Amino acid sequence: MSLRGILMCLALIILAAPMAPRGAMAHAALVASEPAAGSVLAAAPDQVELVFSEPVAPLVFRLLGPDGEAAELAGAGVDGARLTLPLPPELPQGTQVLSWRVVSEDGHPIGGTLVFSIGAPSAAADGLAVQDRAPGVAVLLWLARGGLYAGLFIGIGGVFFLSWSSRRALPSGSLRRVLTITLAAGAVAAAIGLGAQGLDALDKPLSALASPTVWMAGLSTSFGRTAILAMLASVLALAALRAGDLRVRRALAALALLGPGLALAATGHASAASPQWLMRPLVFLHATAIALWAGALLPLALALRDGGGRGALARFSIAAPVVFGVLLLSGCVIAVVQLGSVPALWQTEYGLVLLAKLVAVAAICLFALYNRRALTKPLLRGDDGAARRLVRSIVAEIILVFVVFGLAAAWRFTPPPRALVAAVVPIELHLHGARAMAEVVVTPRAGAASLEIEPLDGEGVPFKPLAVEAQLAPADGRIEPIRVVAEPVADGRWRAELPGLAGGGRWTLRVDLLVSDFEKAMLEGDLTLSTP
Amino acid sequence: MNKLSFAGAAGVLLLSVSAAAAHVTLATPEATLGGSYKAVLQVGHGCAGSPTVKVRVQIPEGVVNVKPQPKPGWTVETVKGAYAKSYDLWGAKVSEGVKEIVWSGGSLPDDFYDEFAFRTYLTADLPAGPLYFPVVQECEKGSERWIEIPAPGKSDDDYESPAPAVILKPKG
Repeated sequence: MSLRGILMCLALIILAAPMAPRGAMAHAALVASEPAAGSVLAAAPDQVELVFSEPVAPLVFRLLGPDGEAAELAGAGVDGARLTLPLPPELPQGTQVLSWRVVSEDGHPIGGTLVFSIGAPSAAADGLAVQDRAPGVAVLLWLARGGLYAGLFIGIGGVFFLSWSSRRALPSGSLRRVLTITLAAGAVAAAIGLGAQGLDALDKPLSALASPTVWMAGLSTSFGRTAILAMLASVLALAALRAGDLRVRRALAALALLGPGLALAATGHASAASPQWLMRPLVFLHATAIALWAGALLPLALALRDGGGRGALARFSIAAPVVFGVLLLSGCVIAVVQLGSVPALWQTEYGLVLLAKLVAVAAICLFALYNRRALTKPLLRGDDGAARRLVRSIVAEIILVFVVFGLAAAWRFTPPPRALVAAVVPIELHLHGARAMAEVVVTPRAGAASLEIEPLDGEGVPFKPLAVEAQLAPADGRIEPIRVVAEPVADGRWRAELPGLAGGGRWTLRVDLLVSDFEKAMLEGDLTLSTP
Repeated sequence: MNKLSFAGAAGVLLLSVSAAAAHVTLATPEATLGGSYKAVLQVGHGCAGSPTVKVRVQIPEGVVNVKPQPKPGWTVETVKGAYAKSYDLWGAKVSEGVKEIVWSGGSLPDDFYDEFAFRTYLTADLPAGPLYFPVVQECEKGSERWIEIPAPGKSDDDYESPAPAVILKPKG
């Protein structure tokens, strides 16, 4: 297992928190707290106040910060039923979990958890993942992605445009050199990406790049397929650049054009989203459209600069609106699926990157419209001034395209909002008792987990209990049990939302089925949650 | 009470086997099989501060001849039914009787303590060891169920709201 600190990590959702002290009401019960359970505070409080139904004495207090580090808190002061606990100064932004344990006057210890957030609730998984990554590895991952995009879209797209927009073989010159370099850079970026991906997967620093296991690990991730497809497509495009025969050149270029779409559909957040039958083809379409459109820019600019390219420009301006339409439409659908909600656009890192990308794309659109409306027609009529302006405008567009690539590469580090609410790996448990049983599905998510419980009687036949409760306690007792009340849903199942278990480790789950007024079946089972 | 002595007292209490005052419990913790037993339920608090308005106790199988003691200010009712089998009561056979007692109509503030008593006969068919009387405590606001019966290898202390229990000893 990894660091104890990571094991300790708990970022809790707000919903279950008010229910947490519920089962303990028999003795002293938590009546109120300041900050209130689940509240989001603008600034870090300097103390927590817990108000109980009767006098208590403090026992143990632990504070788990957003980084998963647990700290014992001392110095609790009691005034009858009112307990004040000083908090450490300068608490970090994010979700704080206070695990408290007190003893009531009747001598019975009770405990619970109080969750509040400073600034905004943290999403445990991505916060952790980003924090654990060595900074050099992050930069390498980003550069590799960006380089890969440049190679795939500018390089392969450029070769395709060149091969299909003109019947003539490519004259050796600056364009051929630039495309060759771009393609080679893309292939190298794909290879470096493998290493970076391996480092990230194994949580190793940059210095481990020499180890073959790192590269094998990189190859075994979904990015492995992407890298191989990208390198194959780059080789095909390089071959097309050198092919003399028109039909061979066009066939090779067309084959290479499959590369960007296939490579991107093989990996990444968008391709992993469901419905898969929709998302993967959409990513393919999106990437292919980018290659078709962005690939045309460089050859056009260079040809126009040299006084040619009129025919290619005319053909491009016919195809461009269609390609751009596919690009925007597929992009919009992907964004909608990934975001899940409108506020996610400005509330999540993923959404902010998307916003920035949309701004850049809008700027590109303005350039494209200007080129089309104001420059293309005069140029085709033979206006040389328009040609110079168009070259400058296309160069600006290419720069913006690179900005978009850089932003898209940054998505490598921001899980889409969809993933923050979507299931990771459901854990299925069968809990067995003499009088009743339960089939339980625990679905951990970033920052939370949901429980689905199907109560069964002693014979294994589904039945409807009067009430269903669940409590989850870490096996090492580092925090108090988290208690929740389940609500009935369809098909005789009961659902409950549990505070986040992103920290992983071993937990004991207890499901209480109220069989009758006087009979409660208490079923227990252990589960191990993996670290994010 | 000053803080130190409170904490000290709490520590001592923590070491004792059960925090008797905390739960609904039986006043007499031991009884002999094949004899009478006066069960006295001790209710030390309401539900999170809310006064108790109803107490229900389920009579476990094997406990017969159950007669609740009338209680001023409270209405006592019993729910009768057939036993799983017939039991020997002072030479006579009994096959039906009280299965549940309900005290209602009263109001016991959280700050006060009260007892709810009933007389029983513990048949010799019962196994030695703990015998649980599950109790549902209903309050003006909310309720508490003292119905948790420890799993093998666990004790009352492992639970938040264990059912009141009496330890049965063989006749001897």
